[in-house]
Amino acid sequence: MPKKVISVCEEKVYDKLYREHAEKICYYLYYKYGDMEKAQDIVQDSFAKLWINCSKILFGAAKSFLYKIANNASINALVHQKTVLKYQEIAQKTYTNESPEFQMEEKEFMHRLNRAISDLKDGQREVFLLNRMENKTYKEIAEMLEISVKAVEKRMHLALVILRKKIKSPNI
Amino acid sequence: MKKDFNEDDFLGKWLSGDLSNEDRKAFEESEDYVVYKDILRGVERLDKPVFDVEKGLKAQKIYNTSYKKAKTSKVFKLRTWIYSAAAVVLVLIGLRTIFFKDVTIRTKMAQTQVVTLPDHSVVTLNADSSLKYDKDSFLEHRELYLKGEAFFDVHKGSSFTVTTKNGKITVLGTTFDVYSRDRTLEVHCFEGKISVKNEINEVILTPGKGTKSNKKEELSIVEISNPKPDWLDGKSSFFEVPLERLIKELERQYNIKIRTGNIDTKRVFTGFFKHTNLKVALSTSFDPMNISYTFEGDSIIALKNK
Repeated sequence: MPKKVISVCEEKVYDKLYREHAEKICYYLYYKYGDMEKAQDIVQDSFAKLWINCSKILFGAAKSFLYKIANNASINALVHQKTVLKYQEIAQKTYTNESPEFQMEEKEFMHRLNRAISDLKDGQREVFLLNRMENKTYKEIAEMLEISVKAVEKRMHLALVILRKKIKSPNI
Repeated sequence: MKKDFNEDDFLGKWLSGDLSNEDRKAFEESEDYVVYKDILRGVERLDKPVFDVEKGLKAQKIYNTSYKKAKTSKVFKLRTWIYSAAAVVLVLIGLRTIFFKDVTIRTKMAQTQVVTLPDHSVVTLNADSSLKYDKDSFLEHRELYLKGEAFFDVHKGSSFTVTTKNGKITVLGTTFDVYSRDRTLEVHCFEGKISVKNEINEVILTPGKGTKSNKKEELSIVEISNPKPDWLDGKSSFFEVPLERLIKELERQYNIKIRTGNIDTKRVFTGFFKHTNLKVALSTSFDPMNISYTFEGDSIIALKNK
């Protein structure tokens, strides 16, 4: 019996790919560039390209195809743009026994942290946030970005060192 | 083997739990450890925008059907489009240089702009507003056309006229604020003396007085208390206005879309919101009205009665 070939052109298969990867690619781009709308546009373009090329792409290669397209597209679209991040702070608790001074300091700290993160280099930020916010392991990140685990470790180290320095003296 | 804190992958190893016990304990006693802990705790509090997979998939299907067509006819379309656009632009530029020298200043959503006119009068445009005047004749006839809202600080001189679709304001030299959107006209006088005229009547305003009319009704005079418009200080305030006006102003100041759902937009609102923090602005606007709001994506907000 011949082995059944899974075709990306089949709607069920395509939908499955979308459900599995669209969100992840979108957040990956968001962490790198800090612009959710652009990230969503690029995801849409990548999946459209997958759709029109569906007959030429093997199911097993679809993931790396999507990431490659997303990476290329983002480089074209955002090459000259400075990253502006819009991380939202979690809504403040209405009932709290923290003192107003403490809350002010907290707010100030979050503000500085936000700025420091957006000032990181794209490569450092994507690694740092993929690890801290998506709980991705270094190995997963390394595969995604096609770099070594060692390089991920180094970027994590550098990202944290820079964040610490900026938070201690915000004017650097 | 003892590792140095400054080694280039030390913290990376710390986060993934790959340090030896000895190294970890030494690090936990260092001064920087507390700061790193704070940073990680802070990052945990960061939020990310929502990505709705099912909605995205639906949009994707629609996008895919149009994507192919756009791809195949791209070359032809682009060329004709560019040629015709270039031709239109050239003709327009030609006509403009021959006939008028209109200057138009426009502000986008969530943007204000200060404009100095040729006579040294200063205009501050609020968000989503536009101002137009003729560059050549402006010094002889100080006339301009306004859509939206602006604050005027008029240099003393001959009469200065602001025309809007809801009425006309004439002054000599003063400061005042004009709001003309939909069918509402509101003028506040802060200095000097100004005349406001619409199709029905004319009123003269002195400092501390304002006038307001909806749907081109008669202009009535109201008292105002502040020395300059609140929006210049990053605040929008309202006195007995329909809710829809508050909603539109929120959309303008924050460049967002608000879905009103089942709420009654004719209800009367008095209050203000600041232009600095969207969440606080939404809460000060809608909490007193007993309306709840939820974010649907980055810049879309849906309202609901509580």
